[in-house]
Amino acid sequence: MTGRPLVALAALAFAGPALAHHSYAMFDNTRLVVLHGTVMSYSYVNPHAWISVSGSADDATPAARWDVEATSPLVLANLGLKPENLKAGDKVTVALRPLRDGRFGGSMVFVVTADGVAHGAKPENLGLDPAKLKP
Amino acid sequence: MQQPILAAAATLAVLATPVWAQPGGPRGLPSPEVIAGASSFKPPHLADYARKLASQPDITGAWKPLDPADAGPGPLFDPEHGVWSGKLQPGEATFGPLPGTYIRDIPYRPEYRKRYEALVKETTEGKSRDTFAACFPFGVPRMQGATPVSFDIVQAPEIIDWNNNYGRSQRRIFLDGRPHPAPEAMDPTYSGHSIGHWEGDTLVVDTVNLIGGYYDETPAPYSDKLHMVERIRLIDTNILEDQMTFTDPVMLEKPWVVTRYYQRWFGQGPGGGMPRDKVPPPPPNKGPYVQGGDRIVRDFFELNDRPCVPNVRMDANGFQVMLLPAEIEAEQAKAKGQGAK
Repeated sequence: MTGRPLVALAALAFAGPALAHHSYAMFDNTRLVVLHGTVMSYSYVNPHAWISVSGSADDATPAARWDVEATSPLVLANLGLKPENLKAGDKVTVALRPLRDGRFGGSMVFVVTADGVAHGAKPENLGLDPAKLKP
Repeated sequence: MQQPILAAAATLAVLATPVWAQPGGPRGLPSPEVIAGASSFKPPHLADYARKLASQPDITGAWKPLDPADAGPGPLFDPEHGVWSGKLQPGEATFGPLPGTYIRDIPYRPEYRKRYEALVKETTEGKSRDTFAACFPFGVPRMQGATPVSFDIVQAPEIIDWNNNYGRSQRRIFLDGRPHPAPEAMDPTYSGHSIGHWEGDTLVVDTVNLIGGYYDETPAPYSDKLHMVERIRLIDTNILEDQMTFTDPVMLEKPWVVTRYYQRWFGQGPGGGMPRDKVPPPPPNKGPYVQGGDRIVRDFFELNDRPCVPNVRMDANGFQVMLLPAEIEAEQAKAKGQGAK
């Protein structure tokens, strides 16, 4: 991986069982990558939505396409990410658990939309300053 | 020499007179008299069927497994004996148990205990052998014990159908007294062969003929010699209990008993297995459930009855490989380019 993942060691709070489509094993949940970039596409599909972002990890690397897997549309809607909340061209900040194999992909932790609202996990629970995450 | 030809001609004659030509009309279609009398025809009603059903407990509808409040991410076959390797932040996407999560106290024979430990170690290292993501169906054990979404039950007097669209599994339980087919007379299937009967208000189901697979995603294996006996009953209007006893002469040294509870699902929250203390109370019992069930089944199909388009493939070593949308798009572009040549 060319990115420089930011490692967050946080006291991880309870999360209930969620929809299982494939194993979580391919993601490294000890690492957190924070991407700053632009939405290329937002596929609001079952069983899991995908957010493709052109961006760089922590502003320290050349921009690349990152494919971020989100949870199911129903759960995403509950998190405030409906189809209309994200579209190609939007500036975003996305936190993800990266794939272990080094490809540019991962599992969504939170998405900060252009209005500065974080959807998903709370950044402060991961030791991040929400003020610095506004895209 | 003529006899075989005559026999063949006789066979053709039989084939040329299909048995469904009974309505008596031309070309096997209903006769003009039948068609003319259609509007005054009184169809038989389901009174006998309803009478037979009336003596069964009402388990029709959608059901969602209940997990202990302290359960970690991802459905485990036996959450009462689950050991979770970690937790995720609320709101974070999760796709199953975190690597290293396992079930303790499965009575495996020593060699299969080692096998299970090796499988758990593999997933800890980021390699999963679970084939569900590559669009293989859940088997019946996983459908009952480790489904992350609800399943629905449709009752009939001599057959019960259980559908788990998310897991692409359906099971049909025969209640008509038939035995299991002889093992050599049937190829194994994901759902196996299930026969059942009511003992008072308890449905006793016996399942054999399963394709070997995994109870859940940790992944805990079972062999194709697995024999599953279930005692299913309502312990409250909206709580269903399934006590499952597994006998696996290949992998288990003694029977393994797992009891799962399900709550009637009225469409509250995502269809996932919710912790017991988080499940909203169901609306007051207005029965009969078939009415509510229609809506639930409709919603359920809308949400879950989607074609399986795998973004995961199994590699040559039997491990999951995720295909990123960028890679799928590149593959499609390449295939399109080849098609144009």
